[in-house]
Amino acid sequence: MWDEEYDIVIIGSGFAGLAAALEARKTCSSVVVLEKMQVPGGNSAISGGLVAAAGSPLQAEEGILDSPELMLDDMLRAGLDYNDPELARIVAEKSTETLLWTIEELGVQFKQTLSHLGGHSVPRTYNTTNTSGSGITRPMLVKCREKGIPIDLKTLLQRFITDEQGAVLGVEVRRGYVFPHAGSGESRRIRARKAVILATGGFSQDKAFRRIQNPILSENIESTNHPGATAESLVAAIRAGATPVQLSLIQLGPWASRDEEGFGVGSMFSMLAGFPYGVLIDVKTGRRFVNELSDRKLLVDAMLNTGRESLAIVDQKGVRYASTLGKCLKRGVVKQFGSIEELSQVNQVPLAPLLETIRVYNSSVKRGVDEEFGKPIPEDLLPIEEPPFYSIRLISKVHHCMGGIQINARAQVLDIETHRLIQGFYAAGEITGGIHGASRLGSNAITDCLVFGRIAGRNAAQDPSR
Amino acid sequence: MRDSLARMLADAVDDLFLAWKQGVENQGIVGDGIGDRACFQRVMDGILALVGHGDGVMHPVNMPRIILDEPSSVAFIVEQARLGQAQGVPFPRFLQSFKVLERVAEEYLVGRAVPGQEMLAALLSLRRATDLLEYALIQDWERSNREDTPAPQEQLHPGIVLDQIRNEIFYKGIASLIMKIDAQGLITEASPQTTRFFSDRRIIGRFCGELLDIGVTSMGEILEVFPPDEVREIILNRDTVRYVFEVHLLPLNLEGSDAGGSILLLNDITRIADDRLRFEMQAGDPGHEQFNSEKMRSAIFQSVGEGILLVDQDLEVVKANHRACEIYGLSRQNLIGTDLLALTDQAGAEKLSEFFGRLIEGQRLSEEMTGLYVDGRTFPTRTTVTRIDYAGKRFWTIIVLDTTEEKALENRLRQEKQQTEEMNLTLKNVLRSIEGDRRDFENRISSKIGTAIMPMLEKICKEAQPSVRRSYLNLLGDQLIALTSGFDTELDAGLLKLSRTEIEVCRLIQGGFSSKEIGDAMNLSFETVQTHRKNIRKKLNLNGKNINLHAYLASRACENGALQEVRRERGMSGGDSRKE
Repeated sequence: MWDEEYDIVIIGSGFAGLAAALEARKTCSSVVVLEKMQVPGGNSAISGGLVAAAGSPLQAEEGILDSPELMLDDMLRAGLDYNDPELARIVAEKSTETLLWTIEELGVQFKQTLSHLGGHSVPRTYNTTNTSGSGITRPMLVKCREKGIPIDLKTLLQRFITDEQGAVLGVEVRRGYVFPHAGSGESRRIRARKAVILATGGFSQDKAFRRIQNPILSENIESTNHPGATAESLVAAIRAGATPVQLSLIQLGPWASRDEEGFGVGSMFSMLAGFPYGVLIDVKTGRRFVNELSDRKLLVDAMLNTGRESLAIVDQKGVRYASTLGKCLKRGVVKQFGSIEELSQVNQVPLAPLLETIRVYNSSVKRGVDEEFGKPIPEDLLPIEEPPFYSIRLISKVHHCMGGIQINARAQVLDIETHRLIQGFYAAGEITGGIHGASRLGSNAITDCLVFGRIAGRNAAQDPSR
Repeated sequence: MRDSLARMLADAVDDLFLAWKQGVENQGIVGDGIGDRACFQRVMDGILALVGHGDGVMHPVNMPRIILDEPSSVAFIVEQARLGQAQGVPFPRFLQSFKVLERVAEEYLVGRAVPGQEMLAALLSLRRATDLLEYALIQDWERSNREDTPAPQEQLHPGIVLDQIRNEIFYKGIASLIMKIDAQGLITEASPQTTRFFSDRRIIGRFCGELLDIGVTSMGEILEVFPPDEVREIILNRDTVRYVFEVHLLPLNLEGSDAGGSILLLNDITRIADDRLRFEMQAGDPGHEQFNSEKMRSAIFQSVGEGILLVDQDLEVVKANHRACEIYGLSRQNLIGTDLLALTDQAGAEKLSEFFGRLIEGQRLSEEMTGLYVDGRTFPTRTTVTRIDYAGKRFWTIIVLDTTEEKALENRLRQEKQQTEEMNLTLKNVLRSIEGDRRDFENRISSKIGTAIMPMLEKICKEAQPSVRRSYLNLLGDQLIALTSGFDTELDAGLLKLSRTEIEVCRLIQGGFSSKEIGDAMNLSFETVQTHRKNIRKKLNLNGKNINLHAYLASRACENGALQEVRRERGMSGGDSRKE
């Protein structure tokens, strides 16, 4: 009947899967992580490595007043109250504890400054020192190796194996699978004596599936995700009785570069410099059209409106936190100019309106209030005036799936008919739905993945062996 | 290059004229304008103009298009041919004179002291220009033939036209390699160049897919790989040289020609492909996208089993193949932009830095070094570094071979060797101990001989009674047999020491009689029987041992019947004993 047996079988080797594995391993010796790609880490490893935490030590140092309640408010506001408030609250409440776990137990290194991302009331975002999610996945993988948790690559989930009562007993997988060749590898049945934890992420790269959910997302819209971000595990979970929620809520990222593929190095430039310290203009008119620190949904909606061509402009002072600047310049993603005139010429922006836009914006900054679009003006936001100037051409790319399968506060997957938990079945991370509602705030995803990954791992390990 | 070619030819125009005049005279085609300076000059000017023309013209594939788009560039030759015809020069004769011109120009170039590379380029350019002109000539001639003759099929069989075209053009120039294949894809004819190119192979009758090494087995697949209306590029490797060919498959559907056959044209575009590569390398920032060129792609991404990284001057990875990602456990997005030195340990980093310092362009160095997997695991690699210079910048290709399995195999072999050596040692020890056992054994045997057999011999010598002597001899024989067979039971030398009376006493003890019964039976006093018993115990070496004599004798008797034998041979049986 079974080819292999473990106490806990985790599908996916991103933040959620690895967090679950490490937590489960504390009380349970037999844990395995299965990953379909040939490298571990999935989207987590190529993400920006931004972690939101309410009431963190750096906030305390900088005298920023924050609380889980404020973070929850921000999440619900951006999420248009589509959020499951109980799950969202857990993310906010456990955010700082989880951040400290990454520092103390994993040895993750963060920069000593906070970022203020769009839609957050206050700066509450930690940045890994290497400006990448790999700054977190790497220590997690090292820890997994030390703890003897195998990460089995090239292993594709095919279906969940359930009993008559619907409990998940194990999984059927293909070992030796070579992405994306469906028939590759060998079929194996793996038993999970305690539980299966699904942590397979979203489906932003599954163009057919996402178009079914949201017909606006046509084939030619790119994605920031790695190519393996497809929907087959979600489908398998639904087949096993999981409840799909809000699958059509798919987020586009407003900050990705038109001049490179995927998330690249430009996205972090926009997030760390272009939006907070610069202006976002329409190339055709030379004018601003939105508060640059809006949440992602508002930004993307504004950018997609009437086919705008968006360009973010920032000056020498504005790039001081842009840790990917060197790479951006090298790859031609960000261009550097000695003057606004030069910038306007190369980017084909009408000069006079652009100069006027910058003049008005600068005076708003000096006054401390942006009457036009309501961008918050913190003290360290300075006028755009010191050359060299930098520009990045932006295009919206599919980034995150807010929808997924429903879980409860213990990260247990809920049955579509009975609304009760399915025995032996947990889920965490982007595969789950309902936590972020209509729009996920930047830097909340890693927090979510780590918080619920750990909850899933800890609870699954306490389940009785079957 | 082309400018210099045009200049070279223009400088030599007088020499070329003389050589051409000589040539056409030798061929006996002078007259009606051929051999005239005027005729020569017009054709020559046309060639020079064409040679100096832009890039596109030189591309054989573009020829038909150029004739359509820019008829003026080749019109002069057609006009010249028509003029010749008007003057009474039949087309083949005009073509022949043109071929002579082509030949003398080529010979002239070959005679010039220019470097090989440049020479090759010049010849190629010239050849392509003349090919183009020839093509235009033939095309015009064919057209005029059709126009002039209302029913061309009757006068000129298409097969003949085909043959002429083949003879006059195809086999001599336009495409580098020409093969005619039948409906099954088997080669039925091949141009001399083709035969030369595949010099060491038999061509006629071979399946073209096999010859071109494109991994197909049927004509159907050939048609998939080379759709008749499209041009495809293939790479052929001959003697370490890599050629790029453009392949056209032209189905022969001319009436009267071989049904279902095709002509396979292979245009050598190696130089064009190289130029394209160079162009791509130079266009834009050489750090990135230009490496998407054909050559790099094939080098980097078609490779299996080995990880390949392209590293720029900052030692930053700018390109990585699938295998490299797998080796280091990093997705391409993570791997690109990574510092190369972070993928190895301290010693590896030092080695690589040293390589980067001393490698010269094109040079290749290889070293065993440690690789670093994403989870901190280390693994052995064989790393080969090659330097490439482009547009004044340096790049390095790093070929990484994960030798974990190789090393594991080596280790296993080493272990097995060690185990074998240990085994040898053990065997040696076993042999030694066996040798020791053997020696012990010999010692035991010689001591047995000394303690049991020799005394028996003495007894035999002293014994006068023949029957007793015979029984001693029998016993001796048994002892010798026992000595050489089995050796499992220890020889009971004690039994042999017993006297006749003692043996009888033993027999009775063995039979379960008490000392009193034995005394009665043997007419001995109880005390005498007890003394006998005591002596028997002593001789059987049972003194001081907690062994019952009856049990001992019973077990001995069961085992080998020695006692019975001794008794019988001494003639002591039943009631006879007392008679003796």
